[in-house]
Amino acid sequence: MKAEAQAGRISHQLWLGFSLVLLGGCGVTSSIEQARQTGTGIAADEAVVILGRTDHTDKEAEQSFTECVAQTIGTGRKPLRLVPATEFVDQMFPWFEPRLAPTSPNDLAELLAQPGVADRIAANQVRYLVWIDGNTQTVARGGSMTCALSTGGGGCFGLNWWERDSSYEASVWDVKNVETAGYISADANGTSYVAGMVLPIPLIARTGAAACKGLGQQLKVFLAGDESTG
Amino acid sequence: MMNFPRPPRTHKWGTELTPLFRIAVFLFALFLSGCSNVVPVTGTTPAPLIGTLPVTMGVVYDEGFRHYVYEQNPDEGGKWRIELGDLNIQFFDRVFSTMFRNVVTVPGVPVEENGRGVQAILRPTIEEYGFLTPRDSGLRFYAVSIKYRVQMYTPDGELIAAWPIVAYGKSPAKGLTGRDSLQDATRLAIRDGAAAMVLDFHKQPTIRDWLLSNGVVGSTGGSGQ
Repeated sequence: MKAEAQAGRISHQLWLGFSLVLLGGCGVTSSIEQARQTGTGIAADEAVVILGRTDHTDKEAEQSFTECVAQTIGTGRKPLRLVPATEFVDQMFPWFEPRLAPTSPNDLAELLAQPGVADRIAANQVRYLVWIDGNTQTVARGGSMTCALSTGGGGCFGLNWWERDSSYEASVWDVKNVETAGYISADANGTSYVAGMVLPIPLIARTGAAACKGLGQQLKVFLAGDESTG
Repeated sequence: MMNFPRPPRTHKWGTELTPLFRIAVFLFALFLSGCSNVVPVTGTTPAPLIGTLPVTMGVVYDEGFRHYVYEQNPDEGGKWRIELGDLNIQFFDRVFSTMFRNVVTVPGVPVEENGRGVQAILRPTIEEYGFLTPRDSGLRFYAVSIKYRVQMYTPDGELIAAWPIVAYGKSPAKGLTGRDSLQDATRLAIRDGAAAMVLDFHKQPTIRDWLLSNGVVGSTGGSGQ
């Protein structure tokens, strides 16, 4: 009896240790960098548009990411006024479609000369355009898991892991002065696991969410031109 | 000799089928209908933010353009039927009615004598439609391409210009069938085609010459209105 109890305790400790290793391993490391080119600031009635840089390749910012950044900027303490990207792109049709969207402030200057464009932007009081570029990729994966099912029951055993890297850059254009105000980049890296301990237990490293939160918060501070904004 | 009553015929369709069998038939029919993906392409059409040329333009929408349907029977997987018609017309109507002061839908080229004062006629057609699923491309989205051809004629039927427009749209894979993704990707491709229409019209050298010779624009390119 004593030996059985001791074996049970050891088994329990092994499971606990295994779980702690997994939990410790699925953390996300992230970094934010900023390059300011001009002074910024935004009045209460001025607005920001967060746009995903779209092209016809696989490597472009996911819509969910740009929406997450917009959510971070538009909520919390001292939220900034946002014009939703879809509404803005519709109002400016066809000038912000993938094949026509300006790629530099020089292009923006040319675009503002088109009939009605400057007036429409002024009507929306858009002060900053923020272009988000980048994506989330799986950079490595490994492990193996076996699942079995029989009349007596079933389960999964083994370990699968994958490492994801989220790398995004926000390019901030000052529409009023028709110039680039600066750049902010966010990188987040983390390893996710699915451990098969009879039931498959997922431990997911949310790199996209970490990059979004970091980029959004820094962007808010950058646009406000006030370090106290949170 | 005893006469035994005949047992009821339970194997004929529509007679005495058990409820379980009826459910099985219904589920099988449901399964089969799930294999055929009909994608009607719908959406909203934003008003273009572009200048208007002082031109009365005739527009011809052939039947093939009005009711364009793409059907595909891939070797594996389901069957696709993509109906582009309505949204195509909506987008091009919206673009043309903003690009030109007056737009008149005409039945064909050439127009009848004094065909309601049209100065030229545009005829968009669809030459090709194609799509790639994530399984085809190995990417995470559905991609659609539409190849349009736009022709511009004088009212007498003389060709002024003809140019192709290759439009693209893509949408992340979502759902089990991919129907919504394909609908989104097609809608974006039509939208891209309409944007290209605005851009490419002014790039055609023969159209620029026509606009100049008809006094629609000045030599600096400004509208002659």
